[in-house]
Amino acid sequence: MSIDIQIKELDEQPAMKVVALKGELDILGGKEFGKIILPLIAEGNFNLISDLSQLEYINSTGIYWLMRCFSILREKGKTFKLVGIKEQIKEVLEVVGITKIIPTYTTLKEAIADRKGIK
Amino acid sequence: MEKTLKVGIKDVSGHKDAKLIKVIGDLDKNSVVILNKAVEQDIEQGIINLIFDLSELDFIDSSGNLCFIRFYARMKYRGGSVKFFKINDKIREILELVGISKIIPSYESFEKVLLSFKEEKK
Amino acid sequence: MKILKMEITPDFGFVPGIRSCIARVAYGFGFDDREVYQIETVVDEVCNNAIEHGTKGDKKIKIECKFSNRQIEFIVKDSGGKGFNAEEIFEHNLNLLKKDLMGELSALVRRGRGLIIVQKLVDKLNIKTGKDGTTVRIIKKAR
Repeated sequence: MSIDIQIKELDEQPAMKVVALKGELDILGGKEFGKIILPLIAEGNFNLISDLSQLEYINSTGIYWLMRCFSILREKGKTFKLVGIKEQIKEVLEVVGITKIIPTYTTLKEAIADRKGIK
Repeated sequence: MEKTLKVGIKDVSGHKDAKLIKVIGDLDKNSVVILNKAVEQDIEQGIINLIFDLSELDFIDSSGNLCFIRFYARMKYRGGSVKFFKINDKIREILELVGISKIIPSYESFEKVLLSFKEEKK
Repeated sequence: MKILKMEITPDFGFVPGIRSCIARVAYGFGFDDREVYQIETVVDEVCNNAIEHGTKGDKKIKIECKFSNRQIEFIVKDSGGKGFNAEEIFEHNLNLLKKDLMGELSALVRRGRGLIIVQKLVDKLNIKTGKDGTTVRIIKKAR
């Protein structure tokens, strides 16, 4: 129903941002998320980590938006990672197979430390 | 007195369907309505080529950019054009960041704009 | 660090004055002409977005600048629950125009959006948005 979005820049080189999502990534939340994030990543020049540790709910529309982030970033030669997926949404993501496509980590530290794909 | 936007519109000799429009000051969220109002009557009366003199345009934001993009869309739809000349140095970076210069052509002078019409006719 | 704070009713009429004010102050902190102009643009775009979102009830839009030598930190907070919907109106209007123009123009419209321009002109851009409003925080350093 509602989603809070926080985009923060990390002190990393090359440029890296974290988008933390709180609430629900459903039809409305997903639209909001897409409206804000997609133009920024399409026109920006940074790697992105999505912190899902406060995401309570995700459905297929939400997953669609995450996949769009992933494909835009990949086209730009940038990385997209998921962090802190909660137990309750883990199953949905695994059933859809997203976790096989987008790298996932337990903590932000691990996600930042993995330099694979970062030029 | 707040510095806002002044618009001056002139005919273009030899081109009945074109107008020369000088924009002076700041084209921002507050002042786009001034530009739209000024140009609207000419557009309604069938003008299809808008030539903007930007030499004294000191400031432009996303609302201003959108205003130009809309003019472009409307004129293109009629088979016309939008052209800029003498882009003020101050706003050049913003226009380039937005990428407007890739779609709306700009020239060094009014004479060069008129020449471009001749070239296009060939 | 020197601090400049403003609280305003969400009214676009404030913006030209605010952006000029902050830009002029920035001159005194090591920014050159071009950077001051960029700051003016950034302040304009961020303030316009905040006013667009609006505020709830009696709340005001909060603007805060923290100046230190060769750096400005600029924070704008609104309490509106409208999100970034205002830009939908632009898109909707464009959709009324001929479809085949949409391709080249929609990229332009996207690139021209306030926050996209801002992102290119600053060193750090943080956005926090939700039902309680939006806070935008930027940091720009003089080269």
